[in-house]
Amino acid sequence: MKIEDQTKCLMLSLPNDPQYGVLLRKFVSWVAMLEQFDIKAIEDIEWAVDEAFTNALQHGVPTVDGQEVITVCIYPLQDSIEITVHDSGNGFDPEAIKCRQEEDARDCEFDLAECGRGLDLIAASMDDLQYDRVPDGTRVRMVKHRRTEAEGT
Amino acid sequence: MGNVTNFAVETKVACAEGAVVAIVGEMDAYTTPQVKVAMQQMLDDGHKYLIVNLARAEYLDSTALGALVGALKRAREKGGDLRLVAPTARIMRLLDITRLSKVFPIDATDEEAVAHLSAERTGA
Repeated sequence: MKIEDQTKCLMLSLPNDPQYGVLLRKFVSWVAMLEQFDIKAIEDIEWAVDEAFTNALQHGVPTVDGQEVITVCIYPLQDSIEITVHDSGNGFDPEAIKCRQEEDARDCEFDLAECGRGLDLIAASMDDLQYDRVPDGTRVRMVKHRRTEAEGT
Repeated sequence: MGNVTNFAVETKVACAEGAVVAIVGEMDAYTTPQVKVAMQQMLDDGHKYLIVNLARAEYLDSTALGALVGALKRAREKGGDLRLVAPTARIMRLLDITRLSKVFPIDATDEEAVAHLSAERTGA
């Protein structure tokens, strides 16, 4: 999915500082609530965005002008909500993390690993997930579809 | 921003070698370091059995889970253990998604956790 109309974006730009995670969670929860997602979907969206923010905190680096900004855009769509989390650094390599997890799993150590669950949590919480290297950083794009009552969540 | 989530970590001695660490509020990348310090302090004080009470924990993320796994490993290195108490439905769902519900023993109350730990200590 590609958003053509950038004016529909509800945007929040945050400093690279973990204390802003709570603000981000409240922000996305409120938007999802206004968009009439059910409580379980709201929790999923909150987790996914928070984990993407935490990844950006850990892997983003300052740009040439010294700014460390994490930008979150929320696009409420007719049947879904799309969220992008864009950090201003070189980002991280999700494949490298995935490989490390697979290695850990082979060693039967993954259950007791102290890190590496964030990407799993994003993948489990959202319907579509994509990582893009963009010229000025890394962008995580996530989509959650709105379920009908008959479909459940 | 200050303490906008009313986050707190409460600790108390539960039994010989055992301590309760209660999480209040949202445990995320910002607040998790406080919990890590509290759990490590309890272990350093000789409490190798940790009971982490989640009844008032409103939110946990992957950094929080990492801290709990780390404390579990350190407790077991000392011959102890870590048990979770009263996770909310939301946190239980998180534990299931991450498969950690199979790693952490989970009890309904602190008293139940103490009873299990006492049995472990005595080998009953």
